[in-house]
Amino acid sequence: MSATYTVETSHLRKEYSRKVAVADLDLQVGQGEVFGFLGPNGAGKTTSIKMLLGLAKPTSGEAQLLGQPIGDPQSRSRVGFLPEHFRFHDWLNGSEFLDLHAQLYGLDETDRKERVPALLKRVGLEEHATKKLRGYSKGMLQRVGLAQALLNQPAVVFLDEPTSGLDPIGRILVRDIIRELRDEGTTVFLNSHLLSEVEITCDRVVFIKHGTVVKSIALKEIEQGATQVEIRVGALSADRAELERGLAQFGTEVRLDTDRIHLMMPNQTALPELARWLIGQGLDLYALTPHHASLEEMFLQIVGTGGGL
Amino acid sequence: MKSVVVMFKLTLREAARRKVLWGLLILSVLFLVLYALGLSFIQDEIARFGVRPSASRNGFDLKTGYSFLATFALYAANFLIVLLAVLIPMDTLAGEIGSGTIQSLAVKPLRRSQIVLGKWLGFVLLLGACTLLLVGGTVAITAAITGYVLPNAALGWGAMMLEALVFLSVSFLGGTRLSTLANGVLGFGLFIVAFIGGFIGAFGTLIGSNAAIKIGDIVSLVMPSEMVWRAALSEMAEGINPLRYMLLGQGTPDATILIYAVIYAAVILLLALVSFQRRDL
Repeated sequence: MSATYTVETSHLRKEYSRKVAVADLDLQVGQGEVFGFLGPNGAGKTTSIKMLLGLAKPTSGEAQLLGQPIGDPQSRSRVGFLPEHFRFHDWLNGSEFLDLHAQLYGLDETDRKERVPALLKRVGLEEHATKKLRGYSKGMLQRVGLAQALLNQPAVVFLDEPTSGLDPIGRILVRDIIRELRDEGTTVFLNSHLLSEVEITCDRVVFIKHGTVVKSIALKEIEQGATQVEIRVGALSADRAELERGLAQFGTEVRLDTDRIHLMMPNQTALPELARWLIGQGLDLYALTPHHASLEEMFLQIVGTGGGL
Repeated sequence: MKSVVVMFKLTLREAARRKVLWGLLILSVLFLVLYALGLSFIQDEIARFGVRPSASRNGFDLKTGYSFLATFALYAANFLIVLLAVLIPMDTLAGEIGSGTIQSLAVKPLRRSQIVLGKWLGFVLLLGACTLLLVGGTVAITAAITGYVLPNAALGWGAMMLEALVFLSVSFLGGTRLSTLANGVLGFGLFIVAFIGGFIGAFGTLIGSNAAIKIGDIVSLVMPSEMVWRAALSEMAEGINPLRYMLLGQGTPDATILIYAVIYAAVILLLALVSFQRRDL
């Protein structure tokens, strides 16, 4: 194990009686990375997060958080956490709730007086500061939970389904906060089923299944990777066989319809050249559209439609 | 230490917000008002008619009567304390573990033992104050109305407090592994077992049954709460106090049961700390 990663696990395993929740987890999350942790229900995502935060003890394997063995209370002073099932002391009001958690982080009174109102404002709850949490909606609880996770200006934040109870405005807020955290160099460990959100916010994602990492992808790789191209042209009157042979220099899986051409290109760098070549062949070019595989398509492709453990 | 204080304050604040504190206060005051009223009526009757000659012939004097009334009131208060010591803390760990509330606390930079200790100390203060109010109030009302001062009342308070601590620790240990309901059942179950065991032991001293006495002793080792109270009663009861004979028979509890109960409560609390530390949340 090296101290260069914010989160690092090696052969991490968790069994509950006869059930294996996490089989063999190997992860490395770099500092300042916005990291997406994806997998079907029951794949072991929440259990993995619980182990990293010291809430559940691994059956075997090793893990470090901020260079310290997991479970070390001191390393948790630089960790923020929004649980999946956000249940808080609902007899406290928003301000009291944040003040309590700030005290547990060890913030002194001056810092608390500054941080608590600022975070309530950041998550759009400043007008509800004196309202009891039991009167909060699901979305409001998620917002105040998010504020709680940021009280200590953490080096790493674990967000377990942070947008599940939020409306579109709330989701945009969370997205903005994640961007701010990235700009500040904070590592964000995001577990979410909303893949469109993950696609927008994350630098890298891993897919886990049966408690094991099956694929790790940098989101940039998706943008710069193999691209399905759809070309709309006038009627294909030219020699189709010759056209197919010519298109093969740009990519594979060439398919010609009446007025459309489909092909798979290894990347997008040759797109302008392809356009020039098509025009050079005397074709009327109406549209040339690259399609990336969405994260959702990749998810289905990698994880499949079956559930986890 | 700072985190323990935060959890301690949180426990007290929760008791106040959830109206547990006010419930305790109202219940205690109601108990004392009822006792004061009852004692006043009895005192009026005694002033008017005196003690019956037949009772006097049996050695039952005024002092014994007052001792019986005061200790009986404390006996009832003891039930109330046990009830509170089981009911109030039974949800504090079990409920927060069950709902997941504990997660956002346990990921903070503090040891789990600090969460348990802070909460435990909060309940100690609540139960201590409630016990002091009930015992102090009973003794003060008795003295004010009858002029009789119960001997060793401080020991009575200490014993009831110790009994409360035993149940509090048991409730904390149960709360680390059981649901709220199961934890409550455990607390009351142990109380009933100790209560019956105490009676079997007392009855054994009356009929001279060593087997019954032994059963009482074994039960007091499993759950010393009842014997703690009975040990205090033997020090407080004066004359031919009927309650003494009802609860103790011919026997006098060994004072070492108090030391045993202190060790018992400490060990159970320690087990609660270890159990909470080791469990997944």
